[in-house]
Amino acid sequence: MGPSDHTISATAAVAALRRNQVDHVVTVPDWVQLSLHDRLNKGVEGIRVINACNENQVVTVAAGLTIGGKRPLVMMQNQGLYNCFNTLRAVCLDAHIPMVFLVGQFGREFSNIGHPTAESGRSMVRIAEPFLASIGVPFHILDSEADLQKLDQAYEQAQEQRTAVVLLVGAPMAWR
Amino acid sequence: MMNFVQAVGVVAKGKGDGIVVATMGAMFIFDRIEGADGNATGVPLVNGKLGLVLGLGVAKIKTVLKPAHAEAAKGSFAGRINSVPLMGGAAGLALGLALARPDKKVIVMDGDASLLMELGGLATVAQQAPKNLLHCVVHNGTQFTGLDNMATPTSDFQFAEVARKCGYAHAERIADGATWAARFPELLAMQGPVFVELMVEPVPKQTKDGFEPWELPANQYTRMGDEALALQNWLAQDAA
Repeated sequence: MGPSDHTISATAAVAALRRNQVDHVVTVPDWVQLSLHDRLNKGVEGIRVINACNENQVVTVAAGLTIGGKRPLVMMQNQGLYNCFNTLRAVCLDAHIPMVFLVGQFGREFSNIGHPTAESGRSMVRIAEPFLASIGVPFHILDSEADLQKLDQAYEQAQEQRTAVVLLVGAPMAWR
Repeated sequence: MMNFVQAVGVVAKGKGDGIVVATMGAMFIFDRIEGADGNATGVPLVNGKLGLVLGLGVAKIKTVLKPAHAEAAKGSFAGRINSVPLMGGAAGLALGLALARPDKKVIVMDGDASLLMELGGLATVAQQAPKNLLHCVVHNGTQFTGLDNMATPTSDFQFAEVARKCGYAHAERIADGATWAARFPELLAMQGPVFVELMVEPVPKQTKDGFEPWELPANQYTRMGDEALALQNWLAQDAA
């Protein structure tokens, strides 16, 4: 199996966002999710894209939207997740503001796709799952288009547990 | 320069049904002057160190006279959330709130050190251009003001100038308490995002040789979550 067997199309991802009534995408763009960014930036009815200067702002803006009654999705790459850990800690773990993250596994070798990320030679890929496990943030792996149903589960889980839930996107999204 | 009670008191008295987002220094003042009745009624806003002492003293007397009310109101009122402990988070929280609720005024009481930590947030706010956002920064050049007054990384930063260049609809600097009190309703009524840099005297420091640190209250680590829920419910009721 090659990377294409694991890719999620922008079309399918947008459909999953719409199915979950996502109304804002707050982001620092991610290489792995470029096709979805591109599609969103071209305009998807009912979804406003907010570009922030760094991932801490992404989390706080999404928190304000949530408190105000909106349903944001956060998009960033793995390096951004590490960058905003203290903000995630304050907002989602201590203040219990629910939030769903779509995080691309930037830097993942194509040869690693379909294999455990623990075998990746790149630290930003290898540490994502143990990092999330160690801080007590639930996470799910998106390894194929069928896994997009986990977005629905993530919103339910985030609301029920009042926490962050991270979806790790394992392969570059497809431009279709 | 105005004192901290003047800077915060003008917002406490004039916020109406707006949402307030505060950083730690402003939170302590809001807590004290709003403690008895939620709106700082009767707290005098007078210049100088005497004004600071007088304002906090009257607030204290009010809480003593209405202890039950003060106890019930411990922490924030429903319309305020504090980015504590999360230095740098206030502007982002406020931006999200302002975009979610364009029908409400959102007032940020930021700190200079906090804003320096997330200075790019000015560009993020300006790009989204929320018309209902008033972004205030308390420029007192100190961190842990009133405790140790450690200097911020830069003492003469031009916050209003930077906000203007980032694209805020209006930005100005105010140093005088009376001018701030007079300008606040005008600035709040403007189409935002509006930025105001308040030149504030540091609260006198307490630390010295032999100073004994005290443990911070436990609710300082949990209140943001309580405030988020209270604000969420308040806004939901307001929208209904």
